[in-house]
Amino acid sequence: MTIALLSLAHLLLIALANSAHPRWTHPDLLFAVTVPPGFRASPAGAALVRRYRQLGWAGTALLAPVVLLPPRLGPAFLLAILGGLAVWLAAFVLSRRATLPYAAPVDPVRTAALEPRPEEVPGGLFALLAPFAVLAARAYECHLSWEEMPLRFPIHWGLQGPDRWTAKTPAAVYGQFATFALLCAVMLYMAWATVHRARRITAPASAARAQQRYRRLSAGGLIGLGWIFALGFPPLDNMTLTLPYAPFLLLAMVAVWLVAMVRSTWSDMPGGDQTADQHWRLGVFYVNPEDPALLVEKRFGLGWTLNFANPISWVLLAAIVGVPLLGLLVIR
Amino acid sequence: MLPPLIRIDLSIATPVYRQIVDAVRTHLVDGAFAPGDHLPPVRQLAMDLGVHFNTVAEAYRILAEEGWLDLKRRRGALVLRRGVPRPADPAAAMLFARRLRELVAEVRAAGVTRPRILRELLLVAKGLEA
Repeated sequence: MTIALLSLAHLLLIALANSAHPRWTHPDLLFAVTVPPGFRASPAGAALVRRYRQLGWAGTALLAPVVLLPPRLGPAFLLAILGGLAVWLAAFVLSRRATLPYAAPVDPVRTAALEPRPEEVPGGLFALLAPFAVLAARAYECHLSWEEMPLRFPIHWGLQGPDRWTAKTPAAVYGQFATFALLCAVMLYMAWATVHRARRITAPASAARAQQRYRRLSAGGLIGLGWIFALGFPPLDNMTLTLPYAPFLLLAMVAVWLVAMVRSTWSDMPGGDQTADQHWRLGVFYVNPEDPALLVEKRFGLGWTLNFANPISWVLLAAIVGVPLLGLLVIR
Repeated sequence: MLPPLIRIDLSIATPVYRQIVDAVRTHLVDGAFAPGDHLPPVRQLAMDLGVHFNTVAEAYRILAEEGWLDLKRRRGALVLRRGVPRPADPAAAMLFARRLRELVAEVRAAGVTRPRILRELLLVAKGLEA
């Protein structure tokens, strides 16, 4: 029952976040479509938002009983998270289609500040490199205490404690470190790219400060994730979680980060994101070979998304999807 | 103090690199930059404007050829103290006069009034005297 309620809570959280989503973008964007200023507050705009919420909540209501009656734990969580996301994504795509007739032409004028940016990622080089040093030190510690390590160690934890184990082999032990080092590398590169490879929209001073705060929050969240990976995972020291509360720490950190991101979104800043609608596939995937930026602001959700016309984006995507799979293969 | 801004219009026929050259040169002539100041690196300006790196690199190269910038440095482009060039030869002076007339004709055709053009020209002239 606990699992079912937890799954339901996930579903509701996804619904609440997505329901509030139309507020979390520039005021001249609605469902990833550039609209005239003030359109969102107009009767037509409000009706579109209302319809989006009705669609999303209707799908959530249909999904809720299925989540409450799961055959097993795994499917319940998967259904709650993937099903919930799919429902709201469908609502978003339908709403976007309904918004397209109201689209406004994108302003062809671009403005930029003619000054170098001395801005660095939060914490500087130390924040970017220290997680690798921590992982290397921990791997070396494992090497030194190899004989004392038990023959089997846990690799997965459920609510009741460890529920999956693997044998002690060099591939399993050091493979985990390598996997987490790669994950750290992806997170920290994304943090660096958020500061150095994302477009800065020139705006009045107060708005520019807000934009800088938003950018640093995004980068800080990714750096925090890298540090959690390095310090809390892989859980090999003494065969227990290095930080027994790491998953909860991770969840708490993500929650705090999300609240901070929501508070500093672009809802008060006019001027759009200076990207053209035709480069947004389904309003979610940005593909613009003319744009040198690797990261652009998301039009659906918070933070930044990759420019999929840039080959580096595909390398990063392959790493994000492939590295955990590789880790699982190594352990098995 | 706000940094000098550059504006380009992707919808007009003038190539983007030429718009960048014109805008940056205007700031340089107006004294918005002192010798030793840095312009943003090519990659940064290209990303902020959403144009190809080569477009900005070409604009910087033209300005370097004109003697405004030193591109040998690693961080961006260094603004140079530009010596006053020799007075333009008669052919160049005629070209200048023709281009100015063409520009005036273009803006008049676009609906800009004569008093407005005159006002802008006087402002430019005052800037030159200063």
